[in-house]
Amino acid sequence: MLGRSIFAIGGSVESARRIGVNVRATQFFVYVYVGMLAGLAGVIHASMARVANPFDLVGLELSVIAAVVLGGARLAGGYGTLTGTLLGVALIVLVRNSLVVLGIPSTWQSVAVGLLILIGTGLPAWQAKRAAARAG
Amino acid sequence: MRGTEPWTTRLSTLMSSPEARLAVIAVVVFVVMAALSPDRFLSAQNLTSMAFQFPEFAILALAMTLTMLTGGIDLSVVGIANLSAIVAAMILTSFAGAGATGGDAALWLAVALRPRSRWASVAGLFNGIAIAIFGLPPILATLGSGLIFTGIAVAITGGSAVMGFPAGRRLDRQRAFVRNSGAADPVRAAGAGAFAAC
Repeated sequence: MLGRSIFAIGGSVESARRIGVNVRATQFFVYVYVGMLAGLAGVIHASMARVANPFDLVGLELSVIAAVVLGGARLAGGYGTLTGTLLGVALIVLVRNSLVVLGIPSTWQSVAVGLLILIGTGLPAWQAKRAAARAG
Repeated sequence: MRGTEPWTTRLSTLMSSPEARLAVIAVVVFVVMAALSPDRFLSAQNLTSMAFQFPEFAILALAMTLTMLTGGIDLSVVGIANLSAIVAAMILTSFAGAGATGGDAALWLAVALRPRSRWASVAGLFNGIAIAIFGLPPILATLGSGLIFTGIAVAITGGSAVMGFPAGRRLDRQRAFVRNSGAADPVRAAGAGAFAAC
């Protein structure tokens, strides 16, 4: 029920409200839960790095958004899967490490990840547009 | 010819899902890299480095997916993560110190992780109130609260990093981990973290 409420809100807030989803409670739950997960990730980071630095993860949120979008979730909501997200994360971690191994300087990393996002999200979008044009 | 027809259609329906496509791309990247430089890419060090990057990134991404499914976004995850890491670290270092070992360190670890899960929930609650009750757009609400949480974290530590965690058994574990080149350490860390979050 909770999961369906989340998807319903992502599809359309007004529709979700009219079929009886408690929009306020669901949104509340989502952000509290996300806060808890973020805290967990922070503690894991600190325990693996052995340092808790207030500037450590800054900038990572954009990579995270990139991974999620690459995994097939829509920014507008209502579509996406956890498997896709994990695969998106795996792909970004793989590509980052591959560049280092190939001897491409780490300063070029963000260029590669940016290209990955543009291609990964641009290709499906273009395909969808072409399919829509063909359908009339 | 008739036998190949269902096989190709089945393959094309499978490939039409974005997850399958991504999985194939990831496997292809892995295989190509392994073929290009097997000694460096498949080295224990590289695999360990990837296994260490994965858990925190993935947990943040799973959290972000959840907000994106509702059509929102959470830019404050990094602020919350840093703040709660610092709260836990401050408790650990001020009570247990670098000298603590074994059971003593484990006890304080448990003590330190309880308030940090409360802290993170309170931070999420703040976002929840701003978005669900006051109706702020998620991107603005979490941008602001993320800055606030980061700012609090910087203010608590005075801008420097918190160091000197209890020694524990990390060095032994890491050595064993590199030797086996399995994924034991991050998995164990994630398990311990999940336990603490309950």
